[in-house]
Amino acid sequence: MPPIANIRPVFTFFLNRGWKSRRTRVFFLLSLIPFLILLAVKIVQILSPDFKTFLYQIFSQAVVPFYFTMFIQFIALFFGSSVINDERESKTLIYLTTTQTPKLSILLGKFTACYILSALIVLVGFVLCFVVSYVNRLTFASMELLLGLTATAALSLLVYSAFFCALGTLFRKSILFGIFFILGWENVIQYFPGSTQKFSLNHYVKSLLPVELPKKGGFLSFNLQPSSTLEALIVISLLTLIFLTIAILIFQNKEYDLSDQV
Amino acid sequence: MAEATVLQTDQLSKWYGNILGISEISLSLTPGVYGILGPNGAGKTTFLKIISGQLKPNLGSIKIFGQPVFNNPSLFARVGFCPELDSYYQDVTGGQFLRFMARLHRFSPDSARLRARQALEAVGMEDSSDDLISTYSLGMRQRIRIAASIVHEPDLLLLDEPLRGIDPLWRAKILALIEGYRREGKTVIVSSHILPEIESMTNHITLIHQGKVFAHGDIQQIRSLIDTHPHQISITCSRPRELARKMIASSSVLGVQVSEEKGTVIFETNRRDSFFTQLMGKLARGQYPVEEIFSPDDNLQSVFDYLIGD
Repeated sequence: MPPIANIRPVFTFFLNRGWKSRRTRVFFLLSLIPFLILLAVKIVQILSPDFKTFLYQIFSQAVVPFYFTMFIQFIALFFGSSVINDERESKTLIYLTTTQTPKLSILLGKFTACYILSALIVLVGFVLCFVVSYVNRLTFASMELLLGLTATAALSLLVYSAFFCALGTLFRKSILFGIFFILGWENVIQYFPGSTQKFSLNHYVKSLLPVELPKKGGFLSFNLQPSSTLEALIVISLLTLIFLTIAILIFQNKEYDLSDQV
Repeated sequence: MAEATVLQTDQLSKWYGNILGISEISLSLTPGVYGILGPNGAGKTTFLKIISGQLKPNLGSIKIFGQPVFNNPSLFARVGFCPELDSYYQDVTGGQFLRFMARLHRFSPDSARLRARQALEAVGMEDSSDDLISTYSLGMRQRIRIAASIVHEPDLLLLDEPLRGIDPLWRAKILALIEGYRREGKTVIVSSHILPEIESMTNHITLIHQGKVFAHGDIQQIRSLIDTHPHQISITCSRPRELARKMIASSSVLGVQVSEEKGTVIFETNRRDSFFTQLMGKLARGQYPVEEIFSPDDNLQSVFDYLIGD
């Protein structure tokens, strides 16, 4: 039997469930908060012509950092780590692993469903923010910028989701570990000397961004020269592959004892 | 012609850190219905987890239909498993769950729909198939799990505590379903800690206690084993050594251990009834103030009593 056989029913089942889940609704509402703020500013702008604020600046100075240094990581954490961990916590893993569907298909099918759901949440919110911010400046260049940003968001979400998926196959408390990783390692390492920040995923994500993140006053700021776009692309692709391979190997070989009873 | 071996375990052992799960279980089962019996924590669930491929044994080997179990999804074309856990997808209906299970068993969408309907009918859940599983009673959830385990009509069905929460009417129908499997020449392995449940399904039982196979065979064979099996009886009293001296001459006593410090004497006997008759006489005559009498292997005692017919 091919190891990737029967991936489709797994994907379809979890995608259908995912649409209706509380997690999806909560993150979708969260993703709309920046849009609603920008919309409010826009309305104030329209109502009071004296109010001088450039929304595209808010977009690049606040919305982009919010998405790329916080929101994408957290949504990846909650969706990526849920791939196996949710099944373990709800003790439904047993139904998946005692069928003819290989574990590889189970993991990849559910991972893909979770990734698509989280990507839609991120991209809908992000594109809405962009549209409100650039409504008066919609040019070819701005569309290029949007394309670059959404592609970076999708790639960023992919590598973080793969990382947290691997974490979720290994640890029960992967959310806690993930929060430490996002708020700790990914930020603190930027202040280390030399090129140590290359040991963070965020470095490569930021290297792909077509806009510059604010350098001063931000805890999440970028302190070192970015890697080249090609290098960042290669590293992100390779890391995604490595994390998914690790997740698959762990899932295939780990014993998941779902009950407390011996 | 010899019947094909369905399940073959050789010296199967599993432990969790320092805790023993099962130890050196060697079984060879041909088609039929088998009961795995033992008190809670005896190792039944560990055994079923290993034979359903959820756990790997630390030692020994297991083969089902001549194939290894762990990480072998193709084997599950012939194996169905109904877990003891009351776990389910909260936001999914019974029908959706069964169709998904059938799809995981690689049936086309149309076939999966048909299989799901047949399995729902087999457990009498067709009228509730559009209701969320979270609205089901415990018994209905148990029936939907049984339906999930038979949706692909396996040759080997593993049922862990299958009758839990099921009402008497459906109990009888589940038993009939198991009997149907037996008549078709298939194999069913049922685990339970309730002997009457097992007895209503089969005469072939395997007694597991403290992770080991205590006895294996039909109920009559096991009864004869139990008749001669030594039992321990612990008595805490004021003069344990004196009581031990008075009882040692009895032919029903196989061995004695005295602990003056704890004030206990432990007798080993293979004739419990005779032992207790004599003990009561001695206790009454000697006026030993007894604090406690208990059997260290008490969990199995009730099972033995039942088997013996007490």
